[in-house]
Amino acid sequence: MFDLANLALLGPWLVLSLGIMATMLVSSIRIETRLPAKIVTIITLVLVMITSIGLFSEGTKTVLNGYIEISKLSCMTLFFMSGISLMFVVGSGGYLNKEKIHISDYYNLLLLMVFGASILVSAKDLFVMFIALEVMSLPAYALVGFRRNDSRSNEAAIKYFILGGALGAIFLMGTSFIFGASGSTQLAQIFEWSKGYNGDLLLFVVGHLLVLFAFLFKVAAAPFHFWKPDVYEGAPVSVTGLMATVITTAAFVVLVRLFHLVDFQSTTFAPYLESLKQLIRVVAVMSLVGGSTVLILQKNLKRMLAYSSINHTGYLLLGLLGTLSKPDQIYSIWFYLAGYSIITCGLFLMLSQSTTTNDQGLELVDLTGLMKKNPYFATVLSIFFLSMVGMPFTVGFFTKYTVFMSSISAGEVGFVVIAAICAVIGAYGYLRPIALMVMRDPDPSSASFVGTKFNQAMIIILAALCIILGIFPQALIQLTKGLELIP
Amino acid sequence: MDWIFVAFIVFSTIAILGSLMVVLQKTPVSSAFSLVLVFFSFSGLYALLGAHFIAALQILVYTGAIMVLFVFVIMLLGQDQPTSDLKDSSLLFKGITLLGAIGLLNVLLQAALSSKDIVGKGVYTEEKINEMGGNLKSISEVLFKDYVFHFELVSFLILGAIVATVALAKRKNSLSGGVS
Repeated sequence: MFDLANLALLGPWLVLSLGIMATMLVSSIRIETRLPAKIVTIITLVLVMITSIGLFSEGTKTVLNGYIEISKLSCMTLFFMSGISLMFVVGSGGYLNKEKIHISDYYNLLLLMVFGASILVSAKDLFVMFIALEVMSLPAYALVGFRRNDSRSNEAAIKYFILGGALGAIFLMGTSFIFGASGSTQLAQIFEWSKGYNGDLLLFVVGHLLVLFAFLFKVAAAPFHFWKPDVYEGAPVSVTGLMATVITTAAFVVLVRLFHLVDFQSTTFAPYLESLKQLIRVVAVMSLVGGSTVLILQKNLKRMLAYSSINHTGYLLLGLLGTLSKPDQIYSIWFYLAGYSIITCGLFLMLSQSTTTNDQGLELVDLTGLMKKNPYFATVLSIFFLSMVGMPFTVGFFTKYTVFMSSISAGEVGFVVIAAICAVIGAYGYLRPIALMVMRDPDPSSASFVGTKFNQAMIIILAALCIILGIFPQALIQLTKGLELIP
Repeated sequence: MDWIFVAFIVFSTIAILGSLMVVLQKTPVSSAFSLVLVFFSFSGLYALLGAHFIAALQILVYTGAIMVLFVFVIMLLGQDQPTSDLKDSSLLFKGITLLGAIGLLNVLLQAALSSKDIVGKGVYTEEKINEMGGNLKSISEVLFKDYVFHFELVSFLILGAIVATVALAKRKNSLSGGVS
């Protein structure tokens, strides 16, 4: 039952929901500018970050009838997601002006998306997960279609919406099967049920696989990735960035939770664990190989980053493979998500500086000779691309390192070798833009990149984080080692 | 034979045939009306399960409100020309789709049939519902007590849907100059 003492524990979610209403109110008071809504959004996100830090010391608790978990995992993810969203809100004002997106609904939908993601990462119930997934996705569908003058954007929105709706239905069907088998939708009770259960598994397994497929689609692991390049290309750059960071992070945290739905120590589920591992191996190798080989063929930067994210999903699945044998390895996944989000956030904020409208100037050739034309921009962009490659002294190196170590400790040496080969193939794709920037002479017709001062400040912070975490990763790794999955 | 069983067979046959018709009909209006048929037979199935309130809601909300919206949209768009995507697709594509659908159906059926031994009766048996004071009372009890958080969360979903629709349906993206 609810009581007032629990209200303080709901701080981040209360702040977010108040922020959503406040953005609606201020945008109706002054409809001619988006500035008030933007300020309210920034204040809300900062408050969410503060309140979620405040919950770190609370330990692990469940509130709201056990539907919401307050743990280090959920609070750190929430802190991190709101931080990345804050970067995008502060840094993409110039881009929105350029694309003539002046309605303040943008911020309202953005906050709703973060709200859905925040519920999703702390949900302890399959129904709450479903509703939170929809609360997160619905604003995202609309945000993808915000560049209304471009048919690519409209097409992407429709495609994302229809696929997302179908996935929601698949998830719900899986939930009903799991409910039929275990008699509950709460994760803790399903875990309890699995401990003492020794009977036919088919009903549960079909439900579990349906639920997992829905989220594998959401994180776009191959072969479920076909929507991603089109949606990434069509969406406004700032929204693509949000999808690649916030939605991916939330969906992956949930995916980890869903993989650990049952007690694999029990003898009934031990054979099932082996087939689950086989499933992850297949999906991970397909994502790694598919992502990295198609990545090097791309000519459009946004499509390239889409395939790059499919490739990164493969690495994350390797980390997941590690957690299935050793649950304490979850820190590698979290660290990878954090590092990847920092790099991606920086890259998309840089791409949003392009001066051509309608997202036209984001082809690979537009980077030609930038080192001579805009040396500052080219240097920072190179830092982010080198991080993507996984160069030492950038955060990308340690993210890959921790994931590889975690799967080696689970005995998956062969897959680490495949992943390392794919990293080398992918490196060609990431180094090609750098080579274009440095070695060629500038082409006067190509796009130029000019950022607002807020945008540049955010990029400097992110690039600095990239390098600082690349030299001293220990601080963050120590912090994430306290993370644990509580059934 | 039990009349409940006969009614179940009738309703489920209508539901399956109706949903096949939704997919196979060429004009959108006849698809929409086939869907009405499906909703009606669903409501019959709910009633057979003893869930009279859900059965009534099914007719009121789905057949009444949602289908009217469907038909309204079809009318506004003027999409009354018969079209079929199935005609254009190749035989190979049709074959693969059919095989996939049959395979999925097989898996789901197997799982559902295997469930006979597993699934026990839920907490809310007929006696319990009668004891609580009927369908309506027990639903509101569950909805506003155990699942009140879900209920409140859905209001955010609706809010998001409204804002998203309004934002996308606005004729102009810009009202005036921007801010940095």
